[in-house]
Amino acid sequence: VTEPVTLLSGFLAATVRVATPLLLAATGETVSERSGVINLGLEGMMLAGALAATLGATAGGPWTGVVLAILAAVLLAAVFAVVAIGARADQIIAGTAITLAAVGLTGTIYREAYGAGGAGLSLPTLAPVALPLLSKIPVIGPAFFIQPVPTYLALVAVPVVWWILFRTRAGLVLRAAGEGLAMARAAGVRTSVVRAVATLAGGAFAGLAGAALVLAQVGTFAEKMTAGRGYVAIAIVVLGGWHPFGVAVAALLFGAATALQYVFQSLGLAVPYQLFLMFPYVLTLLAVGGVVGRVRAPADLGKG
Amino acid sequence: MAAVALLGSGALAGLAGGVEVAGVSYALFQNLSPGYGFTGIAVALLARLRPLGVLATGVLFGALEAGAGAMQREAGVPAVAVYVVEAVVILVVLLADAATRRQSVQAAA
Repeated sequence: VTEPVTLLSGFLAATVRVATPLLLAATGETVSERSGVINLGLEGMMLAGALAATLGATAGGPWTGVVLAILAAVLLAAVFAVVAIGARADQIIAGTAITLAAVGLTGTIYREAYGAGGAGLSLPTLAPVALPLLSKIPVIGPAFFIQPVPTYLALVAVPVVWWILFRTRAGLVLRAAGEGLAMARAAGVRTSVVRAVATLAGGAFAGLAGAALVLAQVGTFAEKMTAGRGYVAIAIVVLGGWHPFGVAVAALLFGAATALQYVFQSLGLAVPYQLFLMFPYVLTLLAVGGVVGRVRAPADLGKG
Repeated sequence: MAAVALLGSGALAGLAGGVEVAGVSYALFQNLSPGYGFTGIAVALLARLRPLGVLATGVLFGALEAGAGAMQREAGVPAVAVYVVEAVVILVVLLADAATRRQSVQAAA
């Protein structure tokens, strides 16, 4: 029998670990959606990041993997930006196409590089780093402050993105492109450039999220391994009310729902864990439906 | 009206799932659908949301995915490569649409 405190601590640590790629991807999506761009290519960009991280880590260590992951996802984001912003094509269709392309490309490249067998790769991963003092806090310390570096990057990114969005002129311009496209344009804002930059930033976060998934959580690559995490991240942005801090809470909530299954396994409870995986989605539906709290999307989200 | 449309669309999606189990795979397992739902969105949008168009784009994508298996057996090209082809088709149509729109705007002006 595991002691309750150890169990709680393990649950929180698993929550944070599972939430990290979701939080990174959702933070990036918050930036692009605030500028009015809904990026359904997020799933594909994470997947591309995951494979690039695998290839990079095999070739030159985990940090090479992280850099390659960001580059690969930004490249996909650039293609998305050309079609959805440059050519003003429908964002939903363009994003779906990007994800389709990424599924195909990663599958093909993976099989070319490692063979169809898909034997478990052993990659150099990013080990947890204990932060001095903070990691000594009981229960919360090990959960939040003995984690791999991507988790810290995600936790730092949240207030930084909030500050940029709501306390800087650049953030004001970015939100203007999402809330009042026509007015922003009339005021002389080059909205296409603003949206492209926001989309590329979102892509960089998605790449980092993919790298975190491979190098700090799973430790190997498998085809379609993102398994809908990109779409979950989009739901997280909605549940978080398009606000960085709300998004962080929502990401932890989704992480907790997944982490609960480990608790149940160690307690030997016979409740199907899939039941809990459903709860955050129900919450998201309620939030969008205006039952829990009130969230509103940027007014010109998805409009060219 | 929107609610009726959503209900109808849900019914059709359920039918698709039922047909997949009862007529194609003959088994129920987790993650039964390899992304059919999302591909379905692409198929519908590519047909510019016209029912008869969906017939054409649906058959096109079906042929592509059916051909992918043969491609893997005969030529050793991974079947997943077909998604790249689908994506390129969608992106090219989007860009062509955008170009046509720009021309018509210029013609009007």
